[in-house]
Amino acid sequence: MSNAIIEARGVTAGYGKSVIIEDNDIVIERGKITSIVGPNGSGKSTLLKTIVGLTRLFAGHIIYDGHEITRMQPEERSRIGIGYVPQVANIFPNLTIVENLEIGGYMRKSREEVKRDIEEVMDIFPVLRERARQKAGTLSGGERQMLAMARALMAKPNILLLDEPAAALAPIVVSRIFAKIREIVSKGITVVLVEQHAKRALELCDYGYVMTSGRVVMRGSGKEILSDEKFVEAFLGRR
Amino acid sequence: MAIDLTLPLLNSLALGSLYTLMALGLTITFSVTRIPNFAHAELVTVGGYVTAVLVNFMALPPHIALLAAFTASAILALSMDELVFKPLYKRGSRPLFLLVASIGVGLIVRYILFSLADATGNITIQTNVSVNPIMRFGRAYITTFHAIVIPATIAIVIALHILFHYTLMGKALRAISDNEDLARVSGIRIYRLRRVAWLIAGGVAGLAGGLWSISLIIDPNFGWDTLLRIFASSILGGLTSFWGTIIGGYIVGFAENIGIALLNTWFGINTAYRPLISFAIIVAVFLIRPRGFAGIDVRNIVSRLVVSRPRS
Repeated sequence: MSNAIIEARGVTAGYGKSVIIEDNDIVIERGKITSIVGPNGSGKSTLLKTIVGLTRLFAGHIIYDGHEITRMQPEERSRIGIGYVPQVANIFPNLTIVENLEIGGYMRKSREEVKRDIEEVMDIFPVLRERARQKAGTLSGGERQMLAMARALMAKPNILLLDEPAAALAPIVVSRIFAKIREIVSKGITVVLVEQHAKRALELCDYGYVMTSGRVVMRGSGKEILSDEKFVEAFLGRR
Repeated sequence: MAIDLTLPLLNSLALGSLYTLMALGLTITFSVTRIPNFAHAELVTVGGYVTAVLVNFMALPPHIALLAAFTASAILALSMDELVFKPLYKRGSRPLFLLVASIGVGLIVRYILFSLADATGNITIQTNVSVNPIMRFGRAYITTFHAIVIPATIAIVIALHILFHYTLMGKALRAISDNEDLARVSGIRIYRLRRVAWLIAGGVAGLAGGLWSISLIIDPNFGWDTLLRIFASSILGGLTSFWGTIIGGYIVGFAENIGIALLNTWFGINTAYRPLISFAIIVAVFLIRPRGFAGIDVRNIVSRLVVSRPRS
């Protein structure tokens, strides 16, 4: 019995009429960190969006927890436990910070629990408490990223897909975000991490995929990929 | 020479309130669905006719007729979306196509109204409700009409504010307006919530039309004739801002009535040129302050209408 939470088989997807990723197979194991790395424009983000249901799927199947979700709308996918943090536009700028978190917990039944969890989030990120009633659009880049992850976590997802959570952030913020990702996994949430910074992502992950030009070209444990000569040459440069 | 502005002032308040009510619906549907709905005009007209017909021919009390106008326009708005806009949107239509579709939908409704009104001999109609002076204000009178329209507008603004800021449904509607994809991946069923947006927008437009038919004679073109003012109000607020639209509605009301009174007195300009003022406001906003009041770039919104939307 496989321990896959998500399986994507032969996935070809894109936007409108244009195909961005072609015939990709990936398996994401429950409770692990999976990284997808590759250069700019290689289709990493599109692959993530395809799992969430925000792209046009031309071919292939997506299976979540043993169930086919290929034709399911994004809102229904999130309701069965798939959480997603886009790289950009990942908060509601005209909603206050508290409202962002409330929307994060939108589909949960108990509003009391949502309130309690918002308090908890604010204990973890004091900066969000200070600005609780401010519009989220006023936050700095790092604070936005914290809020974006907190919003997704409010839904209590089984799996969290993160699209370049550390892009364009100061190193100290990056290390905080990566610490947070480890913490999320330790709570039993599966994490998929899309990263341009290949070394950082592969060191963190249990299993990794390398994409170029819309296809997965390499797969293996983080260590395996990092020790592969061809990969090192192409992506990290020779020492 | 002193100009007596008391009458234009009262008219501004009443008309500003009506423009606000009409424009709020336009802003709500634009925010949630990104459709600049030209058929919004007909939602107003239908509300006016429903009120007038129910009061004049069925002898219903005005408040019941206004409630019926709210309901009728709400249902019409919902049907427009379900039958035309939503199917087009799901197919990935550009906002520009949706705009053109909305003009078409408006035309259909308008000419159905024309045929019905013509067949029954009601091309022009006014709701038979006696409007009585309540108290003197300068050289003009505050009437029962002012005493209905202004408090009704305030009540609806407060109700909508509570809906959008204190209920989860309202917050979800604002979330869709802010970032539709993120709203969807937060589990918000956007196609269900957009029905709420259409019902509210249509209902408030219908109510505004009903109120209007109490004070003035209307015909099937009346909503279309007023659409320029409605858009001017909404554009002043940046097309997506709730409070901006309210301020915009009153600015248009005041600019038209006080403006035309002054132009008439000073330069002898005929008051029939009144609509020019709304048009001038729209042009001025585009040229001088494309962000409206609310910091939203109207030019950017307009350019987005023309650029295709990346979706399946």
